[in-house]
This record gives sequence, C-alpha cells and structure tokens, in this order.
Amino acid sequence: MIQWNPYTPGYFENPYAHVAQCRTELPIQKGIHKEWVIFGHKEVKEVLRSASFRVLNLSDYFKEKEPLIVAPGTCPFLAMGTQTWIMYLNGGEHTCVRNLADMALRQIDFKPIIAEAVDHCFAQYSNKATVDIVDIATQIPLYIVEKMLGISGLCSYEQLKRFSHLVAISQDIFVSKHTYRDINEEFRWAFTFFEQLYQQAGEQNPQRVISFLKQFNHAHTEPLEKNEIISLIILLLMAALETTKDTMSVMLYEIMKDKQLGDYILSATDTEINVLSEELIRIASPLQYTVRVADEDVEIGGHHFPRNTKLFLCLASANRDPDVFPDPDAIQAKRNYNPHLSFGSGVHSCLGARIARNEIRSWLKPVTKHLQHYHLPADTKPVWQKTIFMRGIKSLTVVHNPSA
Amino acid sequence: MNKEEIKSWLIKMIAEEAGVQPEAVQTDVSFETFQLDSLSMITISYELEKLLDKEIDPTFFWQHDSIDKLADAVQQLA
Repeated sequence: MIQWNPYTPGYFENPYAHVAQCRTELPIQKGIHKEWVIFGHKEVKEVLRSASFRVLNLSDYFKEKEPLIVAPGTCPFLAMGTQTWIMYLNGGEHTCVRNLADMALRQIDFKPIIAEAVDHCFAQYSNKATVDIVDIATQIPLYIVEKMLGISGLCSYEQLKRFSHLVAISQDIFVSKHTYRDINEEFRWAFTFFEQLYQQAGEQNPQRVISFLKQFNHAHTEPLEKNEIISLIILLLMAALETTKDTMSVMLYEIMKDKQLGDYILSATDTEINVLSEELIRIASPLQYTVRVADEDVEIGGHHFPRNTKLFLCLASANRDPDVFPDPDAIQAKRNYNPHLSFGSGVHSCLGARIARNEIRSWLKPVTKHLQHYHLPADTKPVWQKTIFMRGIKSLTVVHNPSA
Repeated sequence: MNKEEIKSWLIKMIAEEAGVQPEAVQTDVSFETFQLDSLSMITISYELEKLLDKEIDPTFFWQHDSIDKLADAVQQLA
C-alpha cells in the first residue's frame, strides 16, 4: 500500500501524482515519518474548521531545540523571530495578534501600489533578451512589501529575497541543523535592521505599518514587547513576499505553457478575471501542508485520534480532490464552484487573502500582456525548490521573441 | 567507503547526537532505541550527504531504520 513520502522520485517536480495516489489508496495514513497525514478535501476542511484542534507552536519547538541547533555562545533568534507568527498562536493570543496585524495592514491602500509595482518591474525588463519569471514574481511583491513597510532602498534585493526564502523554510519539515543555523543568522540580521526602524518610527516616517504597530502598542493596556512586534513584522514581510512569489511564479509558468490561457486573460472581463484568479490560486497554492494537533480525542473520516495526535493536512491533495473539483488537474477558467483551501479555512484562514486576491486580479492582465513578448523555449522545464510544505519555482528563463 | 567504514561513521555520529558512548551504540537495533529526534536524523543525513558527496533523502533513515540496514542501503547507492 502506498505510503506518503515527499522524497519519492519526481515529487518536487510534481507532488500531485503522489498525493493523488495517497488520496485514492489510503486517504488517512501514517506517512514515512510516522505522523498521520490526511488527503481528502472533506476531512482536511473538517479539521481546519474544528474547535477540537489547535495549531502547533513553532516558537516553542525552537525554544526546545535551540540549545541543539545554535552553537554555544551564539544568540538564538529562531524562537524569538517566530514568537508572534499568527498561524502558530492559539486562543486569545491568536485573536489579539491577528486583529492587530489586520488593523496594521488596513492602514495601506494597496491598489495604487500594486499598479506601480507592475510598471516598475517591467521598466527594468523592456530590452532584456531573457527573463527569469521568478525574478518577475519576486520583484512585484517585493516592491509592494517595501512600500508596505517603508523600507524601499534600505536593503538590497538579494538580501530581502534570501531572508524571506530562508525564513519561510523555518516552517518546513526535514530541515537540518545547518540550515536552521543559516536561518538563525537571517533572523539576527532582521532584528538589527527592524529594531532601528522601530526606534525611528513615528507619525512622520514612511514606515506606516511599523509606526502604527508602535503607536497602537503604546496605547494598549497589555502591549507587546518590542521583540514581539519585530517578530510580527518579519511574518508580514515573509508572508507577503514568499507566498506571493511562489504563487505568481507557478501561475506565470502555467500562462507561458498555454497560449490559449494567455489569450483568455487578455480578453477577459473583470468578473472572468476574478473567477480565473480563484482557479489559479487553487492550482498554484504554495502552501501544500499545514499541521494541527488534537486538543481532545476526536474522530475524523472514521479514524479515532487520541488527544495530542499530530495531523499533517495535505492542502495540495484537498485542492485537487475530484469529489469536489471535476477534472482537478486542469485549469478551468470558468470553474464557478471553487472551495479551494489554498488560504486555509476557519479561524486560521490566511490574513493576507484579501490583499493576495487583489494583487492577483490586478497583475494578471498587465503581466500577461508584457509576457506576450516572451516565449518558453521547447523542453525548458522549471527548476523547482526542494521544499515540501511550501512549493514554488526556483528559476525558469523565458526568451524574448525575435520579431517583437 | 566500505560498509564497515560507513558503520563506524554512523556509530560515531549517532553517539554524538544521542549523547552516549560509541560502545553503547548497537548496529542491529532501530534508531528509535537511541531516542533520536527527527532533527538529529535529518542532520545526520545531511552530514552523510557531505561525506559521500551524494544526495541522501532525509527519509532514508525512516526506510532503513538501523545502522546495519542503513549501511547496506548506502553501499547500494554507491
């Protein structure tokens, strides 16, 4: 019988064949690492929306492991850097930090920034013979993140790209101590960088989100510590940059592969773009798994799970469950019923979903228009990231059309 | 590296990660016996990858769950 193993040959190129086999043959099973994995849409959604489960606290994991990871005498930043990451908080603490982050994000009018981001990105590519679509998928959200946090020009493209990617990897499974040490160094950089901005933040500064968090915190009866605010800022940066980059790179690959899809986008109405955006979000979901822990004995899909059982929920499989999505591996531009779980579901559903949707709906047409001048050479395949919980393309070069 | 050299290397690494003397590390028992967590096993697989200059899946340790079985499997990779 099939056993879930993300190191099955070909998994990083296409995880969907393996998870589909798991979903068909053994939809609730113990994977290669002996944790439970759930593959069906109905069951995954049920756990996400159930009050009988809590999220796993990443920061607590790091607190326990830091003495083993970080060399003696080195300041550990892993637990501190992830301590107010909303998706790993439970109960009242979760509600409080989530509301604070939501209010901070509402300080920004993203619409004009998204339009500027697309123009800014393609101004750099107007005469290039080749373009890596991952650069496009990084530059557009990076521009938005820099405006959001008021950090434009304060640190390099390479630094922010590396930082965001490594910090995202901190949530993956099968991460070695060596990689955690690299991640620790990135957190160290971020604490130095954002601490300075936090000190300077005030009403007149461009760092509106940081200034808002600082001012709100001062007025609050139970304020967060400065380091907790910095951890939250790191989360906002990573979530806004990394998930968008991974979603967009896969979407752009799909558009480059399928000329008809590109043509459809260029002639689509606003409503058609909105419907297609949801379909592309389903297909390209960067978050492939999420973890929940049972708070009490619970039954899911006919299986009894004792209290404290850890479950891996395979969103990648749920999003392509044929019981819910007919012809699940195909992009159906007019798929109307689309209850995908790319943004999760329940109390921990993605806080940035509103912004992400607006971003995708806004860039889909202008970016496709720019990319019409490029083609994907025959036999060119993307280089995929070797990450399991987050999926994305590492690089994919497209070539300028000769006659254009 | 031959099988015995791989076994000796694994004994040394596991003793280090589990905080025990190398003499206490048996080669025919499951890795679970040493109470190694996934972080330690993934780190050993990373070191093994560097040692052999060959890609080793982190899940290799779950599939071949004793020093003897792992040394056999590693040799077959060569």
